[in-house]
Amino acid sequence: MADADSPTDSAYRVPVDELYRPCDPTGLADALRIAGARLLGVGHERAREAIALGLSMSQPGCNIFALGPPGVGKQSLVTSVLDAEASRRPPPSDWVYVQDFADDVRRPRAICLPAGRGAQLRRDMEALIEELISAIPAVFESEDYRARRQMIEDKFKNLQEDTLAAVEKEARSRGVAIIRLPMGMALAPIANGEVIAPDDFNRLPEAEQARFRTEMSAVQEKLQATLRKVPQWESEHRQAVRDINREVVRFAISHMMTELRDRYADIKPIAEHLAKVEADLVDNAERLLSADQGPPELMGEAASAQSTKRAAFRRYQVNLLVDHSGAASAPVVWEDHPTLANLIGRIEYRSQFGSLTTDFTLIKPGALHRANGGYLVLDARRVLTQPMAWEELTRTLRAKQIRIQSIAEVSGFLPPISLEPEPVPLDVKIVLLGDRRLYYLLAALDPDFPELFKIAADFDDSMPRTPEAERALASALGSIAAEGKGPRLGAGAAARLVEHAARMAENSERLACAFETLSDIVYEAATYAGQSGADALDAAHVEAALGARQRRAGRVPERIREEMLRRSLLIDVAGTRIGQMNGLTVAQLGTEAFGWPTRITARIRLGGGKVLDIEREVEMGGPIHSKGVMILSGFLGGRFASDGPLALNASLVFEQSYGGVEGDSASMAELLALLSAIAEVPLRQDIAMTGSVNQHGDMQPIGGVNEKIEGFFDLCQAAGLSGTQGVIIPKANLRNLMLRADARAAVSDGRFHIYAASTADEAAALMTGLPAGARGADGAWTEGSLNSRVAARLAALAERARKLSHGSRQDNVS
Amino acid sequence: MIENDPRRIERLTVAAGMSPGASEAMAIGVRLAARLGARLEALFVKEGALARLAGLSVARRLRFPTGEPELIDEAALSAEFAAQERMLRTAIAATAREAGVEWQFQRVPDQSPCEDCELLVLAASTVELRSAGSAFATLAHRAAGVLLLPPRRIARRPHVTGRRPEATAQAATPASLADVVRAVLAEWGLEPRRTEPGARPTGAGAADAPSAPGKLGTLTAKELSELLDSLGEPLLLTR
Repeated sequence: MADADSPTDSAYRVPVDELYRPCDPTGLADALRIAGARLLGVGHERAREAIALGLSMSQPGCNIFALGPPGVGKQSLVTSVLDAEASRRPPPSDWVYVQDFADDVRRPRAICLPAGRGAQLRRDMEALIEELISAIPAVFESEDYRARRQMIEDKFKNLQEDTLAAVEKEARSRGVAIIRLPMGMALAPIANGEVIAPDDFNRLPEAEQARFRTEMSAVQEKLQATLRKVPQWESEHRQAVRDINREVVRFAISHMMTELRDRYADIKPIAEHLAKVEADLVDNAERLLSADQGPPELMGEAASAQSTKRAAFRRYQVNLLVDHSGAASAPVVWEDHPTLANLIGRIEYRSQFGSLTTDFTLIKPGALHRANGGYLVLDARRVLTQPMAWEELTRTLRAKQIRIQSIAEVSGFLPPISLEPEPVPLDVKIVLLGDRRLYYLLAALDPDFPELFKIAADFDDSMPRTPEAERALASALGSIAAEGKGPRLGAGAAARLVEHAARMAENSERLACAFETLSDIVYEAATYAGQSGADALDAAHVEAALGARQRRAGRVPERIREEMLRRSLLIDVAGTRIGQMNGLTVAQLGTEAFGWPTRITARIRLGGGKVLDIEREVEMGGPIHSKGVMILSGFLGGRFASDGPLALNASLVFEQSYGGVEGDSASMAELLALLSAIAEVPLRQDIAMTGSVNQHGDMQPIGGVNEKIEGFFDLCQAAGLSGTQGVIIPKANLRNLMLRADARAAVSDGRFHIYAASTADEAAALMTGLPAGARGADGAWTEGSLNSRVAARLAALAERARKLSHGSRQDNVS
Repeated sequence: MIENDPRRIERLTVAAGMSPGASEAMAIGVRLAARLGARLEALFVKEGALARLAGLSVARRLRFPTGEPELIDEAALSAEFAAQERMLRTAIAATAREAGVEWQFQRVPDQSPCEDCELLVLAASTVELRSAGSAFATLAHRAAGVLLLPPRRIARRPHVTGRRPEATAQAATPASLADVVRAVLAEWGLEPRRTEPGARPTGAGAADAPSAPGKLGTLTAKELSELLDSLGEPLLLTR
């Protein structure tokens, strides 16, 4: 076993000052004095530029997709830019829906008015209706109207009755009675004013009976002629009544309508609509008059007379769909529940005698209506998860008009007969927020998407860790602390947050744009500071918050560690063993990531050069992991069997792995386990390793390096630090190091070690204590080196294979 | 007597019919009954002459509105009257219930109408009265009072349905029958006149009457019909 302080080890040991890049608090003090700073655009210059470009372009399809991971400040930046842009634009038009009297009542008209005039029109029409409700009945109850109406009634009644009376008089003179029946009139012979009984009639002389028949025929003809005139009389009667009704209503409403038309003379569609209202009022005067005797409505409950009257006048109301009264700028609308109806509007229904009815007053606007002339911000994932919402949004954007349709209509199901409101022209800029995968999926799968969302605002998940970036981040976090009404953010706390941002970025040279997470830490630290009565957050408060977050997420790693200490999970942290390595695994649970060691073993036997990945065989290994294992075959073949057979079969496994394995970060550990098994050279168990390897034996960087190191450190610390324990990482991962303070302290004290290697040979030397060796001019490896032992064993296996193969042929010949 | 004690009117009789005049009479009758706290009696008269029609081979029915003649079928005629009766009964039940008035619906033969009529409300309906008004003429002989309504005219819309009158409070208020009638008719914009027993009706309507009723008990069906035809405004006849 190699000593921790051996010259071989020290060449690869990482100095403690490279394990963490601290932030100098003194550089942040000035930044924290800036009040009201925001995280807006910190690290997102590319996205800000894209949004600004998208907003300034008026060409079709220049909508914006803001893509990036959650919590990086997409919403804040979009809000800021949109608000600023909207404030420079005037408020757009109001929109109203009105009844279309002339053409089709099922197609309400959409009319736009200057901002604020829509509400005025609605008030004016309400006032008109209030006036009409009392004015129209009044005019019908006036003495003048009643007298004129009575004259018409008398005229037609007298006409009918006089005519009928004349027929009846003549009938009686002929001995015939006219009797009214429920359905028609009857003719019968009479004698002495009474209808002749059937038997009496039959006893009459034949001549008398014949006379009666003749007389009845004559009366019948007269009565038929009279009855044939009745429909004509009734029609004339109705027309006369209608004419007088129209006349009095026209007179009653003319002054009101004239005043209204004058007020809206500058808006031609409204002036036209008012003319239609006036004509409709005149045409429907009788219907309005009988409105207060109409049936009750609204869920079967008896409505008040007033509400019944109002229902009759509803057709003259104005449905103010979009109202920009009092608005000083263009609208910025956030729709956080983008259902189909919430996007394009809907038509509501009211229950009336067990059935559902609707009219134009029940048309409700959607977010597109409210944002029309301005900006609409939507969460892309939510739009896509609402039935038909995405299809209708893109269709609406293409058509440049908002057509209100129910989900049944959009889906092509047989819809009930309903309204078809006139579409509203659309002029809106859409900003979608979503993650990158969603953006690329849409770009790949929806042919409309690239045409409709031409501007991609790509939000970075990290930014270069420059002094300016550190100060901007500190300043913004200081403002967040101030807004929380808690203790102010001290420079030490700000520095610690900056360092944590670098750790979240997994890069000491970058800062994660995880602003939401950082804000949460600030709030949490402020709670601790408040509990201790501090007036400022310091590094200890932030440290306490980070520790608490880790503890909250620590159940699983603690259980794993306990199982290892209890030897239920077999991990050695001391000694040596052939064909066995401590690999390192990392997992993300919720917001926290943690690492732990995993035992990797390799066994070999005579064979045809196949390296068996047991994880893959049992379908527990992912494709990247399998790829890593296959690379090992390439490495072995290229280095040791370029001119001969690789006469071994090997098997590799993650011991006690009961879940899936993915990634190639253990491929270097697997290679060393394999080389150890071939050469029968023991490997150190107090060292864990992470890193991938290529076919040339170069060590490649991996992710989660901090958590992996800390996972092994925690286990060693729990078992008792021996002073020789440590972790080998790829040299390329040095810039990712932002290790925890206790791990750094252990390294500083020489109780734990971090090694950085660039090649499989360097890593093998660290793990075995043997030199890797070099190939001489004769092709032979350095005597006594690891590679020479591997080559010797492989040659022996090849020879054995050759003999076995030869023997087999001899047997076949004989 | 009636004028001094309006509560003695315990039963109010109205002719049930499909004509506009009959409907208006029923509406006024319901209001009056509510005001007087009286029971409403709706009479549906089965005319004997109509029953004889079906047996007459020469009798013909002319259907509305075509005027096409057809033989009168007894079963069909009975069904028509039964349907008419059901419709009237349903309508009166609803109206009386809304007004809080007790009611009774009777189908009676024209020769034997009920005997103890106290106040009869009659509306002009020319064809019906000429042909089937004899039952009400008989009733008018015996009634303590008769309210005659002129041919239907354009009135302010009655508000019988949907509005429950305060019958108890009104009935408890001492008032003459004439006052109650006047109050109810006023809701229709009508103003009644009243004639003394045995006196000739006066006023515009009465002046045009071809014959003056000497006494209520002496009115013939023909006189009643002519009186109704000649009326220009409601007339309250009392004994």
